[in-house]
Formats: sequence, structure tokens, C-alpha cells
Amino acid sequence: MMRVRWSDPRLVFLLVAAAIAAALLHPVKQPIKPERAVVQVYDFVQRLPAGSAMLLAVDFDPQAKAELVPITKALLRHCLRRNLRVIGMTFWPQGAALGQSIFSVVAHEPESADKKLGTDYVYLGYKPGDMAQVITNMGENLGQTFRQDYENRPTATMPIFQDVASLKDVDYLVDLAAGGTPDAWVLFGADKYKIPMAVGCTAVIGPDMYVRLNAGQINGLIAGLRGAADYEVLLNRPDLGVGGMFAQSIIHVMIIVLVAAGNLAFFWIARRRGGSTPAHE
Amino acid sequence: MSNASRTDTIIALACAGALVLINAALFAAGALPVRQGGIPDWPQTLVILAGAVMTIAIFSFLYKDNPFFRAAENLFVGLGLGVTLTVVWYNFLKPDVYDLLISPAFDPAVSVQRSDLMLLIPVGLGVMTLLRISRSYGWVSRYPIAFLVGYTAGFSIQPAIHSNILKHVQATVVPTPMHWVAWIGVAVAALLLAATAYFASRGGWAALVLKTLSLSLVGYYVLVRAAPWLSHVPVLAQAFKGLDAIVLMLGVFSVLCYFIFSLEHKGAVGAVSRLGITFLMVSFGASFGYTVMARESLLIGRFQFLLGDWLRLL
Amino acid sequence: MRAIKLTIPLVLALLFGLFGFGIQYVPHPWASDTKEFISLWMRVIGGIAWILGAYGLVHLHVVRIRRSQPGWGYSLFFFAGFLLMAGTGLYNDARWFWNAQVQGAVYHHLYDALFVSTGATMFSLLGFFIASAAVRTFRARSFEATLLLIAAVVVMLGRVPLGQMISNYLPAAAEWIMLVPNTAAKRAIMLGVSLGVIATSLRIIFGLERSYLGGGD
Repeated sequence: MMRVRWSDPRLVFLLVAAAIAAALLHPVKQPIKPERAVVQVYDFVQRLPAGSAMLLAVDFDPQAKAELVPITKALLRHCLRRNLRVIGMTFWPQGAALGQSIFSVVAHEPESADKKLGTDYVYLGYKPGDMAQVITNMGENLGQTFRQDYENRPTATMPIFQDVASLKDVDYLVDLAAGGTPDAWVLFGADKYKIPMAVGCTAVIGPDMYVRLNAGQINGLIAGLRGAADYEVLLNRPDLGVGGMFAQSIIHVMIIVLVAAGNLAFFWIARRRGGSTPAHE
Repeated sequence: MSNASRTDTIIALACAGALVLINAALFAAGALPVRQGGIPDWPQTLVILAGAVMTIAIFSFLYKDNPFFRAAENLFVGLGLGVTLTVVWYNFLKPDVYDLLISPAFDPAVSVQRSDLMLLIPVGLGVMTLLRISRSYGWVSRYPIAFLVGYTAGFSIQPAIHSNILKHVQATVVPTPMHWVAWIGVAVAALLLAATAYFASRGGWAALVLKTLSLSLVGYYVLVRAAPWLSHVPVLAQAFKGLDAIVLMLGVFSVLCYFIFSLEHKGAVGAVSRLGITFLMVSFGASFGYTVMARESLLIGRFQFLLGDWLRLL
Repeated sequence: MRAIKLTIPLVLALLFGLFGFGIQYVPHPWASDTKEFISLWMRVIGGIAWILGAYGLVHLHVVRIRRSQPGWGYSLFFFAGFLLMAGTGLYNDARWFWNAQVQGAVYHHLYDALFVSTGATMFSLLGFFIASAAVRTFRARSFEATLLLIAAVVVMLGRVPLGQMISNYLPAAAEWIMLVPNTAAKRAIMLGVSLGVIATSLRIIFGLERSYLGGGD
């Protein structure tokens, strides 16, 4: 017979799974007020004149897709809606195909029907090599760094690169990151060539990005699934970000309640033992 | 076979059977992707079914370590190596070495350019790197490694100084214009916190009252910025901005002080270090909160796939 | 022999380190061409050096199978996954590896079907473990631990819509925590780490740090 103690972690796993499944199956609409850091990115993109060049660095792999795909899609939709020229690329080899599929899906949506590959958007794919070197090379000659796009079409004749010879000609750089790529982009790209930059990232590295936000090295931050939900609300186009918010709320509250219960039990046991707190439970 | 392993075997077989039945039911109900004319879209169906099976195999680890999980885990590692090999070939070796140096040998229309012959040097250096695994000739790999590490180290010094140090010191200590109201606030807060620190060790009613007042002051300082009336009093909004800059500067200095382990943390240094620890604890708590948010988001993503794309319940 | 094995590599590290530092201050087009050139060399060396890492992993599993170590059967799954992805990638939908990579090939379908799903699931397992760990070990035993707990709770509630429904002050408090104390602590850590990185880079260039060269003489 399988024995289950009250402290069995599998009970917590079951509770977590049940909470998320229930929340997804029976979602409740909640008001979402976008955070200031996300509004800053949205406002900057809104103020860019039509035809401005955006560089989206899709620097993540499938492990982080749950958080970063919604952010990337929301941002890409906004850029195409504002008639900006979007150039995508990545430094993560295992995410190259993921980036291509995101660009392909969003560009083929009904609202982007008039957008042309090579004129309004292009996905350059993975660029191998040390990030510092590659970003420096992009800062000097973008066409030489990316002679072909992801599907091996030559970039030299693409209208999208008409007046974008290097990184210095990019009007806004957004790094969609699951790891340490924003630091390299800031050090060798944004700070060096004075390009306005924002970061969309997983919530794990979100706290570190606030330092760069405070120093003015980035002018906006979209962190985690909540960041994606905020951007979707601003765009008035709810998708996976907004869809996951109720489940996120439920699971956070559940974890807080369980932690509180654990602490109450801990102190109650300690009191019963005459004030000594146990080292382990 | 022991009772525990018999139970595990029954559970494993039941789960595998359930998985087969569910997939068969989805297939029969036409819930899986189809093309026009009702023909199954095999690539998309494969994506969903294989994804669901692998997801459940990995989630089975939550019950206990089992052969399905171990198999899926090892399969994933193998897949990752295969993906990386494909990426390295098509992005590194083929465009920079094969197309320029080797392909011309098979294509009479293309010849090797003289400038491309220089690539033989990095090819040679790359082969030298492989000698790292040799006990006798491992020292040969030091040459390419010295080139790579030396150049990268030198290249990153200047940007690191500028972007990671100077810019952040500037952001910390550049003065923010402060209204005189803010200075009064700073003076009151400093007096109150100093009095609390002084009386705290002595205990008694004074310590209790001062601690309560200090906590209330800190709470008020943090929470009042959400008050709707604050936007109508711009001087206060500016005052809070200035106070935040002072708190930030205090935080940076106190945390840096904490990390100076060559000084004994006693007296004034000890007090500042303890303040630094306070800032660190708040920061770690915030990082923990964000980490929980991140991991739960990934979990929500997988459940959205299982319930939505696979079971079609969303 | 010591000169060839150690001294010359250290001198090379010094020369290339100084070169890498100095070339950023040269505005001449020659500098830009040289940086591109060195970047190409580093890509080629990196691409070939990758074989080392692959060899290590493959060797581990070959030894496990050859010696019939416990769990050797799982190594067969490793080789199955490796051969499947590498094979379809290099087969390239019958165009083979000496031609440009075909998009939408079987390789890409397998990538979506197996690699993407499995990768996402591997990391999502942490969602369960972090919840379980928080419940079992997060105890307010001291003032610092209580502070950590309170900050975590405020941020966790403030960053979800439910927190905003409970009170407008929660998101404001969460935002303040991220913008002020979190920024202060992380900035101090970043300053310290950056100084350490710069110091280590200088030590590498001047030959005081030699661990990157590996063991032996």
C-alpha cells in the first residue's frame, strides 16, 4: 500500500496541478493594469514614425517559450500594426527555428495581410560566434554580417535594408531574452552606438534588468508572462499572456497560503516543544 | 517482485494504457489536426501526439523516478546534441569552411580564392584545440585557447568599465533635485530611525513605540505613492522621487560595505553592513517572487498545451 | 620545452589581449575589417572545438554501454535521439548536408514535435519543485528571513491581477520593491562582479591567471 504523509511533496505537486488545470478550464476575467515599465516600451513604439527600423533579437530557446513567445508575438503585432520595419535575429542556436515560426505565424495573420517579407519584416536567423564580436560587426556593417536571411535569401537586395546599413541606423532595439544576452546587447550595442533599447525577458532575470532600467541603459522592460499580458492589454489583443493570468493568480495565492500554513504549523510545533525550533521537519 | 514495485508496474501500465486510449479517442473523434478533405495533417498530429507523450513521460518524474522519465530524459539529451550538430554544421562549418575550401574540389565552376586560403590557419587552430584530450599533446591546445581567451578578455574590458561601472556609479550618485519638503522628510526620518536604533537595544515602552513609528513611517513611505491624491500634489511626488534616490544610494553603499570582507564588521561598519543585509534580503525576496512567477508560467504553458492543443478542452 | 608549452601561449594571450583592448580605439576601416576577420576565425575555431564537447558526451554513453553499467539501456535512447536529429538534419530532405538547409524539412517537424515540447517540459518541472520547496523550507526563523518572506509575498501578489483586486497598494509596493531596494542590491552586486571580471581579464592578459590553459606543465 502506498503511504502518503502530510509532508509528502507529491501532495503539493497534485495541488499545484489541480489548481492550474482548474484555473485554465474555468478562467475568471480580471482587470489588468499594465506596469509602468511595459507602458514605456509601448509608448516608445507608438511614437516611432512609420517606416522606422526595429531590431528584435529573439534570444531564447524552447525552454522559455511559455513566457517569451507571448511577449514576442505581442511586440511583433504592435510593430507591424505601426508599419515599422522589423528585423529579427537570434544568438541562440536552438531557438532559431522557433523565431522563424513566430515571425511566420504573426506575419500571416489577417491583420498583417498587407505585410511583405523582405520589405516590412525579415527574420535573419541565427548568427554564430561570440556575441561581443558579432554585435560589434553588426554595428559596423549589418549586410556583411547577415548576407542571407534564415531561408537563404540574399539580404543585399531586400528593400527593408534600404537605409539600414548598420546597427546605428536601427531606431529601436528590443532583446527578447532568456539568459545573459541583454548585458552583451547593452555593452556592445545600445551603449556603444547610442541605440534606444528595451528588454523583454523571463521573470527569472527580470529583477536584474531593473538595474539597467534605472540607469537609463534600457527605456522599458517586459518581464515574464505578466509583462506579456500587460502588453496584450495595451494592444487590446488578448492572447496567451492574458489567458494565463488567472492561473498565475491562483497558483501564487495557493503558494502563499501553503507557505503561511507551513509557518503556522512550524511555530505551533515549536511552541509545543517549549520554544525550541526544530532544525529539520 | 516486491509490493512496491508491483504497484509501480500496475500504475505505469495503467498510465500507458490510458495514454493510448485517450490518443485513440482523440483520433476517432477527429480532434487532431486535419487538412482539407479530412486527411489527417500528419506533421501537425505528430507534433501534438509526440509532444503530449514526452510531456507526460517527463511529468511522471513527479510520482517517482521511473524508466519512462529516464528514457525521455536521455532521448532529450540526444536530441539536443543532434540539434547542436546540425546547427554547428550549417552555421559554422559549412559556410565558413566547407563552401570556401572543400566544395570547390567537387565543383569545377568554383575555385578557392587566395584570400580564403587564410582560413586554413583557424582550421589548424581548431584542430589543435581537439588535442586537449591527449595527455601527451594537450599543451598544443593552449595556443588557440590563449588567442581566444586573451582577445575576448581584452575586448570586453572597456565596455565593462563604461557600461557596468561608470554608468551605474553615475546613476547612483548624480543628485536628483529635491524640494525642501523632501529634506524635512529626510531629517524627520533620520532622527526617528536613529532614535529607534538607540533605544531598541534597551527595550521597554520607548523602544516599542519607536519601532512601531519607524515601521509605520517605512510602510507609509512605500505605500503612499499609490494614493490617488498624490498626483494632485506634484511637490510630494517629486519629493518621493528624491527620497527614492537617497534610499537607492544608501542601499548600494551599504551592500557594497557588506561585501568588504577584509574589514571586520564591527561598530559603524557593522551597522552599515546590517543595513546592507536588509537590502539584500528584500532583493532576494523579490527575486524569489519573480522566480516563482517564471517557473509557474512555464508550467501554465505546458498545461495550456496539454489541455488546449492535445485534449481540446480550452 | 617549458617556453613552448607555457611561455609562448602566455605571451600570445598578452599580445592578443592588448590588441583586443586597443583595436576598439582605432577608427580606421582597417580596424573594422580586422574585427570581422578575427570574428570569422573565432567562429571556425569554435565550430571545430565543439567536437570536443560532443566527443565527451558520446564517450560517456559508449563507455556506459560497453561496460554494461547500471542504466546502460537509457544510453540507447540517447543515441536514438542523437541519430534521429543529426541524421534528418544532415539528410536534409534528400538534398544532403553539402547543400543549403531545406526549410520545413522532416528535421524541423521532429524539432517541433520532440525537442520543443521536451525542452519546455524539462524546465516547467521546476514549477512543481519550487512550490514544494517554498512550502517545506520557507520559514520566518529570523528578522532577515521574515523580511525575505514579506518581500516575496508582496511581489508575488503585486505582480498578479488578483493582487490588484485585493488592493491597489500591493502593485505599488511591489513596484517600489523592484525599483528601489532590489535595484540597489543588484547594482551593488553588479558593480562588485564587474570589478572582479575586469580584474580577472587583466590577470589573464598579464599571465597571472593561468587556469584557463589547463593542467600539466
